Amino acid sequence: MCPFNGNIPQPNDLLNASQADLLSNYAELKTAIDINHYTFGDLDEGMHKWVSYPVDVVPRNEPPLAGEIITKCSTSRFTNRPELAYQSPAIASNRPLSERIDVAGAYQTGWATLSGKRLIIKWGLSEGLGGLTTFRFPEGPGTPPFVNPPYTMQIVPLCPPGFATNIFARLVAIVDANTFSVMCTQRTTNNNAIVPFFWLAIGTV
Amino acid sequence: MPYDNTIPKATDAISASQQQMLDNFAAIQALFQVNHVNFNQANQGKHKWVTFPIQNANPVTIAGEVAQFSKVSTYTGTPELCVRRQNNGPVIEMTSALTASPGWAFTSSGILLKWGTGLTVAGDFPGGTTLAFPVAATIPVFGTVLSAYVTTSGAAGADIFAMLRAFTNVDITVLGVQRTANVGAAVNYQYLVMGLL
Repeated sequence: MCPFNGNIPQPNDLLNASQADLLSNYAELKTAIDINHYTFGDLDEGMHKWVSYPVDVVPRNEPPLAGEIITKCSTSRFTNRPELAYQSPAIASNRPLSERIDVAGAYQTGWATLSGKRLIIKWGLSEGLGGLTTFRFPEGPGTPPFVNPPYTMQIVPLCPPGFATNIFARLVAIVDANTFSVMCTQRTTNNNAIVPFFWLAIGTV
Repeated sequence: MPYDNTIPKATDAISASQQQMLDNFAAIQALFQVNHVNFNQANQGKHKWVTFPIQNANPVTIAGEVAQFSKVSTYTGTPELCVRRQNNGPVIEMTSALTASPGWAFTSSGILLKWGTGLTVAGDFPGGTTLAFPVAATIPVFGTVLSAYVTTSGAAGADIFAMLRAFTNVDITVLGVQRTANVGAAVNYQYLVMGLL
């Protein structure tokens, strides 16, 4: 089948010269329409069965105009795989919606996209050895850094079976985009104590 | 007349083909203006919106692409917006959730959050009280749990504290103690557990 030809028929073409071109164009139109769309004559003609997004091999920067949003597919520089992405005039570049790190299981550090507003959630298990300690949020080739101090955090002491129960961990401060500080003591006194704790932070990247 | 991609025939005269071609152009425009900004309008070709009739099967995805579609969730029983990763990868139900307590929701990246409340038993010191997550065919089950958070809930000044002991795919164990003494207590708490299908 010939590719779609938008230059036919020419003014001086006879029908017998254009017929094959016209036939080919009609067939090519249907072939293109039938991808992702319900076809001509279907009850839902024109609607989308699904939307397949091939990843932009050479990313094109076509920001949305005022009053519109864009969904597309782009390769995440953190997960290194195609991710559904979203862009609105409110954010400067597209933001993967489906981006997250794959972790093997519990008690491991991770992160995931919460929404298209560049909002992510990071979590992990840390341990304070007693007193005030500053911890760094994970970042690296596969983990995006917060660009501002996270908006909120949760600190939860973990008291595994067999572990001392008189423990307490308190968030002292979200210091900056890279660090937070935690005070680890006994719960009933201010004496220092070793405290493992889960942490969770929500912020923008 | 319906769209006909077998015209014009090689032996047709223009008088025979003219109406058929006219009908085809009309059919093309009728189809195209569904969901799409119509020909000759500003932003032609763009999507006004994308309507996803539900699919009975997950779409095929090859390397280098993702697919967005709709299907009836086995959890919510209603059409939900979904995305499938490349190479026929996992499907994320981006909009599925139970907005209640206890409840659950998927993030756009496929993390499953479950939340709810519990009450510890003072006599369960020091092991803690185990609370099973709600079970039903309409509730997704963790395949992998990632982390859990517990927050004490109670009247101001109450001498109580809830401590996370352990969590699994199906339950969470919380120890209720007095804040000022290391003895058991009945403590109300909120929990939030994160995981994957």
